[in-house]
Amino acid sequence: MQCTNNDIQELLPAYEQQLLDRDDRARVEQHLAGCEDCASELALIRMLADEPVPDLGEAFWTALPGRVYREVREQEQRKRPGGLMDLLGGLVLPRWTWAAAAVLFVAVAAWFLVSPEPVEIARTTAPDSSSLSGDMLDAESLDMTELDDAQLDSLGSWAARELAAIQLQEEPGDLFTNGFDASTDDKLAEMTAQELEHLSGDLDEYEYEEDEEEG
Amino acid sequence: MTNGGPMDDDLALLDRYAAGDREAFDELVRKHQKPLYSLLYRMVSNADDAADILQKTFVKAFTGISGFERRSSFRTWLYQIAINLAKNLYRDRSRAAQVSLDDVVIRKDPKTLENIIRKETRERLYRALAELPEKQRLTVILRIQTQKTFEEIAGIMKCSVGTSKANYHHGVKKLKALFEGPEQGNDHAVHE
Repeated sequence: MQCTNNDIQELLPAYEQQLLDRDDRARVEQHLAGCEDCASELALIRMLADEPVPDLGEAFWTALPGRVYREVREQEQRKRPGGLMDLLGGLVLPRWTWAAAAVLFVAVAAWFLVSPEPVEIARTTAPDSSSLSGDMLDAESLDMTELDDAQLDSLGSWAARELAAIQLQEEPGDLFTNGFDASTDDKLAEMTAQELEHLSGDLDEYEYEEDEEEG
Repeated sequence: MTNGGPMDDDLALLDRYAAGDREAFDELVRKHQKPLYSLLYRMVSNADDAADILQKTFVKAFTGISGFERRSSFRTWLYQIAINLAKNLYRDRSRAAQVSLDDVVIRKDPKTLENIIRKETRERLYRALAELPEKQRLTVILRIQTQKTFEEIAGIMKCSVGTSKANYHHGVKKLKALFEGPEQGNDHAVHE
């Protein structure tokens, strides 16, 4: 016979454990006296409840809290952030913001690295004569490697002009006219014969005095 | 009916642990380790496995303590973790295959026929228990072998009290049918 008295069956485990009050215990015992189904169920319950559990030993129980604590600490250590990358990784931002930040960082770094400092470069125009000596005394040495292309071109142009000026001054035949300008010939051409003779006499006296000194 | 340990005591110990009290941690473990082990052994039928899962249960509970919302008791939460870990192991093994006479404490001379029959009967019962659906099996274990009330079972299994009772009744009936076997017959007349 299959019993359907759920109330009694729900009490059977507690009855087996002797935890029922007097009234419930009496009710269960009265039912068991006439129900084979519940009696066999109680026998199964007793067998299950009576299943022995092997003891792990006092040493195990004593050591378990310490083992658990150590493992908990180890796992907490492993979870701890590892530094800047973990910190950044924890920031939830769209990928494009990170890319933009990286580009900006590289651009700023490049600007600081490549942008030249203002340096004194060679003058391309004639200095004021009054300040010439001062300029020459205060001039800093120039590092050509620090100049950009535009500055190098400017320097090259200046050097070419200076060189050209020097070359013009050193051409043969011009030594006698060094310091002389073209107006001297015109002036000689305008002198009268008397004036030329007088100038010639002066030049003869000058040469005679030189010869006397060398003698 | 039995009640579980005072919920407030466990919460107070947790608060002390959170404040850095190592002794509170040890006290919580000592308080729950043996009842948890008994449940785990009955679920996995192997002492070493039960011990291993027991330690994992505590480690998981304390490392994930921030996830304990205190809507249930700390013991209920521990049981939930332990059951889930045991289920993972149990699914890979057949409980019947794990039943070992070596794990059973023999109170009397094992050479007597009576004890042999008793052992065989127990093994048959454990095999029948292993064949129950998971929720029914777990309910039967919690109710009969760990003396939990239906309210506590409902909290552990996250179901209603009515469902926990239904699981128990269905589980016991099927257990009886499996244990008694077809030779015993199932044509019982219904009565109250």
